[in-house]
Amino acid sequence: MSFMSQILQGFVAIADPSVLSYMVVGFLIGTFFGAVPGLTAVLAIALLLPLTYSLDVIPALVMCAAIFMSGMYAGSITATTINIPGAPSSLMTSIEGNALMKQGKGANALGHAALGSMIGGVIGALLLICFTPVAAKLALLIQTPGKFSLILFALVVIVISQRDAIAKGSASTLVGLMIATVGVDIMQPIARFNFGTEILVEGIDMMPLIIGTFAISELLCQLQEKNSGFGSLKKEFPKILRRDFLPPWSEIKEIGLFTYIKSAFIGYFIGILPGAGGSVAAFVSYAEAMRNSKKPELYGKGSREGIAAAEAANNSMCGGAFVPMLMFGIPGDPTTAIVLGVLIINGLQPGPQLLQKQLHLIAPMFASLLISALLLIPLVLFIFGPYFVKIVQIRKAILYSCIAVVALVGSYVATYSIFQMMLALGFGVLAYFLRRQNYPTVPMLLGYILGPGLEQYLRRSLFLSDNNPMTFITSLDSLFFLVITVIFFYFMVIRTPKEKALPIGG
Amino acid sequence: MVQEKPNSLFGKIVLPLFLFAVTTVYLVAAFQIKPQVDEGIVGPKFIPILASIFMYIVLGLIVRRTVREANQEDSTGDGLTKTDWKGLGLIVLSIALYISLFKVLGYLLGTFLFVYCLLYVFGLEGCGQIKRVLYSVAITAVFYILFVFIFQVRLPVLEVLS
Repeated sequence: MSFMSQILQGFVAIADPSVLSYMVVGFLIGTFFGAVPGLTAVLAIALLLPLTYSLDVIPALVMCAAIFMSGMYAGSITATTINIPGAPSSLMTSIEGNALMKQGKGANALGHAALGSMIGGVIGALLLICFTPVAAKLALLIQTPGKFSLILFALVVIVISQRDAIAKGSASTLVGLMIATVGVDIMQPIARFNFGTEILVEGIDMMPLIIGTFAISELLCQLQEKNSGFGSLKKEFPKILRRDFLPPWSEIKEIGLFTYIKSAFIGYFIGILPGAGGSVAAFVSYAEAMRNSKKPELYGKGSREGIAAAEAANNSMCGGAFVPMLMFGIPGDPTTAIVLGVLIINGLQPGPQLLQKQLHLIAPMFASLLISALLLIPLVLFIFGPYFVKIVQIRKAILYSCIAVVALVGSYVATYSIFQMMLALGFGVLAYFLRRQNYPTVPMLLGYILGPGLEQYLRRSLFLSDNNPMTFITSLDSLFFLVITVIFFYFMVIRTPKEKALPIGG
Repeated sequence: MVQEKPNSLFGKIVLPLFLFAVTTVYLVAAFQIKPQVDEGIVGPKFIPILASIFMYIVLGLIVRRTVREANQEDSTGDGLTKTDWKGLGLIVLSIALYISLFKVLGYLLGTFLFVYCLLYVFGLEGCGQIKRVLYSVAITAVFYILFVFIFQVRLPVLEVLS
């Protein structure tokens, strides 16, 4: 069966009522988690991860894709209504959206955010569908030394994208890499770092690391803020009418189709870069829109163009982030890192073979991304939009108690092991202290995921070349990735760009 | 996301010191790995040793920067927030107890007690004991339905009953 016909089969698969219901439920969960400040789509998928053990692979992946798309969009809700971005990627939206909210045009801002997200999400999903076969062909060309250099490139980009915390990001990545080395060696049948215990011979599972890092640490962090934040927001908001969500055609025309498309492309290609994520996509796209704007004076005071650019980019990023994850096993962002966990749990190995042999399992996920963006974003805004402002009135104590139960019972359900649950607690406490001291925790997960590949390809390359390190230079694919690593390092660390002043905090 | 800072230089370097200690234990264990096949320089020890060396360098950079920043903050009198150690201890203890007793108490009793404890720690405002108990029962029941009936998972029951 051809690639396109299998993709179409994916759309047929999500028309199945049970799969469709998982997609809708996933979208609503993602919307909720994206809209509540402090909760993110990453946390939603992390909580879902243990439950995927009792789900089929298609509903699990369809749900993940819907959560990803909706979580990215829903960050704009509280960003606009109360000036607290529900997700980090909505920071730029909060600047413009909340300015419009203060002018009594909150519904209009939410409408523009939804439209931008919809267009960006659709373009991102279409680009994913179109470029995945190309990426698969390219992936086949990469040999063992090239795979090592590619993973090295990914790790370097993940670390240097931390900007102000490169040393802390490196420490986090190294912690993840060290955790990944526990257990049986990847090339020889010997146990490493088991400290004489049998329980560590099998290594440390990804699930307790994810639950600990994203769920338990969040619980502990929120405890420190229990008397602040959204829980204390009880103010009255102006009534929002459904008809106000529809952006007037004149405003859409003023923003221009080109802005939407350009932002979506920026978001998609930033999504492909490991570690960059939705925040970078929104920031770059917003800055680019401002640079070329006919009305740059509106930025910071309620620019609809700024909202459209930022939202189109961060939703388009969703499609881009799947490409390196599916083809190389290199996640573009933390959400796809957890989706990678779902794939592995279900016995799917990323790589070109995935498209050739198991596309029927992946295609519904592509379809879910597209349908979520095209239909569910506007539909959910229309149905639930007037109630969005009430999300911030949920009691934190109840919300976080629920999250704690899902996280801990979920980690039990996944492994039926008290030891794994204790590990989740241990990682949660570690991640909490890392976060308290501004160490980024996402690189820890990415270090854990990419570490074994890095080691395996390094050792294999040297083994095959009689321990000659020149193999990484003489192999053209490897040389290519080493060169772009140096280029990225030069432009992101040595010659840091001087950004045009953006109205952050203004 | 929490972006608070701990309130003393000691507080700031405890974590790097902890990571230093863990790295040292890790490095010692790495040297004790005995490969079954000789792969040359790059054997099962190589990446762990390399990671440890990088970690030492990175921790050194972090400590140096922390000390420098702490000196600057002393002169500017930066206002810093404190950790709620009591709350943190309570929540970690309740999670640890919940996990340890999960199979003994079973899902229903264990989760009820755990949620009740969390509602207390998180300070559910404007709510008496009866309401707190009712919330605990409701949350326990909702997730029981979710796990047992929707995801069809077998959850542990009270040992006496089983």
